[in-house]
Order: sequence, then C-alpha cells, then structure tokens
Amino acid sequence: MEKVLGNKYLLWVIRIVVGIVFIYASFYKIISPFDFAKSIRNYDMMPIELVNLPAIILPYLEFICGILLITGKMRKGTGFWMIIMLVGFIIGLTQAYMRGLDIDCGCFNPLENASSKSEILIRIVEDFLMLAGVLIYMIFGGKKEIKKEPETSPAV
Amino acid sequence: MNKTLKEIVTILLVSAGIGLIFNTINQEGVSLIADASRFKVDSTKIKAGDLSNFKNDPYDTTGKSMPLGNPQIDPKLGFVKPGNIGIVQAKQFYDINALFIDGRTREEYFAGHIKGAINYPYEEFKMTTPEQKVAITKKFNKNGIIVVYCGGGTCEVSIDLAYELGKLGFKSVNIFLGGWVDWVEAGYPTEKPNQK
Repeated sequence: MEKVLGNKYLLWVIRIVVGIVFIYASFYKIISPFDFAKSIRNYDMMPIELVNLPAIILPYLEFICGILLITGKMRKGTGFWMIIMLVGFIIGLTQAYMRGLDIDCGCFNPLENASSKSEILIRIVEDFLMLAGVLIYMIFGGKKEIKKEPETSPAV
Repeated sequence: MNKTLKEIVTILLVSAGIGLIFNTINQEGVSLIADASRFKVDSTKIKAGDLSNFKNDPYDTTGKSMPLGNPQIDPKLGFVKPGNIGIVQAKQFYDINALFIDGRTREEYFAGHIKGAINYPYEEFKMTTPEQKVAITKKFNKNGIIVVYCGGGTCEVSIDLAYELGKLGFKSVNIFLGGWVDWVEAGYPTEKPNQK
C-alpha cells in the first residue's frame, strides 16, 4: 500500500493536478471579489458582515497553496491549509445540498448560474478526491527515497 | 515556533497581505465589513394610512406626480437608496398600483410571476449601455413606486437591479426581499403569460 501511495509519479501527478485546480479556481475570485463575496453569502453559513474577509483572502490562499503544492515547498503548511479549505468547501456544499439552497457554487467562477443539485454533488465528489490526494501527499510526500550510499574509497 | 506552525502562519499572512493590498487597488474591491443593511427589511415601514391618499401612476412621465414621502439622495451613493420591504408592504404597494419589476430570467418569469409584473432580467439589463438603460426606462414615472423582486431566499438580482434603477434617477425603488417565494406562499395574485 505504502509502495503504491508513496510512488513518486503518483505524488507528482497529485501535486500537478490539485495545484492547477487550485490556481485555476482562484483566478475569477481574484478578479471579482464582489461576486465571490456574493457566492459565500449565498451559502448562508456566516453573518453577512463577515463574508467579505474570506472573499478577499481565500482566493490568494488558494493561489499560493496551488503554487506551493506544485513546487513542493512548505509541504506541511500547504497541506494544512488545503485540508482546511477542502473540508470547508465540502461542509459548505453539503449543507447547501441538504437544505436545498438554490445557489451558485462559486467554486470556479463566481458569476456562474445557480448550480443544479447534481452539479453540487459532482463538486463534493471532486473535493473529496482532492482531499484524498492532499492527504496522500501529506503522509507520503515527505518520505525521501533511500538512496544508495556512494561507494567511497577508504581514507588512507 | 516549530517549522510546521511557521509555515502555516507564513502562508496565511502572505495570502492575507497580498489579498488586502490587491483588494485596495482593485476597482471592484470590497469593504472589509459587508453592508448587511442591504439584506434586511427597513425598520422604518410606511404605515398603510400614509398610502390611502397617495396617487400612484407608474406611467405618468409628465413630472407632475409627487413621490411618496420625502426621498433624499444618499450622499455616499449619489442617488436615492432603494428601500428593503417585506411581504406586508409589498402587498400595500401592489394595492396602490405600484410598478412591479421581475428581475429573474425570462424562463423563470414565464413559468409564473406576480400578476401585472414586467420582466427585466438583471443579467440582460446589466449588459446594456447607460444610454440603453435610459431608453428602456424612460416610459416610467421617476417618482412612482417601483417594487423589484426575484426568487426570494438567496437571490440578489432584485437588489442589483434596484440599485441600477436608483442610479437612473428613480426615487421610490423598493426591493421586495421575500420575492416570488413569499408572494406565492401568501397566496397573492400571480399569473403565467398564457393565462392573460
């Protein structure tokens, strides 16, 4: 199991795919914080007064974590924030789905129209897959491959 | 501070810092604290008695009819701020022949709407030029009572559309926050276009 999940090519694919998704998802939100704030508000999970703050910070957190994931820098810090974000997205989408809220997901484009229930389900599944990927990266990404010690001639 | 905690704090501070700087530069940036009053019914409700002597003609463009109350231009906005109303006042305005504007999509409008309401889908309206906006709305009384609504619940196109109308100089624009959902629940008059 460890051999499969810790495979360097699998970890490489996870980093590239999840990193690109996060960077792509941040673009529209960075351009239009007003529309993204609207999307957050529609989830009806926090007081209206507070929705602008995550609308300002979250897109950059997504962008920076995406870059760090691809480059493999600050693995634990990146993993921590990605897990927080993905769990938050999953909770938000699930409660919206359960309550039957007629919302736009705001996942990739805050200007998109109201998402259907099946679209919200797809987003939840996507987030779970990315969460699994990030967890694999967190657990196995730090383990260095055992390199053969270079043969050295004994000191004379 | 251990390495992981340092990374977590660094990533957050850098994101927050860049976010706040770019938000200040961005013309579409938002304030740190959102204006919640946009989404709450105004506490200063007009009493039904005030409306009994009020003559409202939404299509009187002669400029002779007076607005309800004494609408003041909001110094920050530069126009009269639209009011937020609930189902009770929406019905009071409906009974004095207020102009009801449905801000939802054409499909939603044709599936059923408040009786007598006209349809300006906000998504289409916002794409028009300022000149076109003036041309579209010039047949309406700037002092007449306008009630804008959408689906209710979390929909916001009525708010956006109402602010557009406010910018165009309409002085008595009201956002019916409960919208279509509250209207139907209350059992007030509705129609589908083919029922006319």
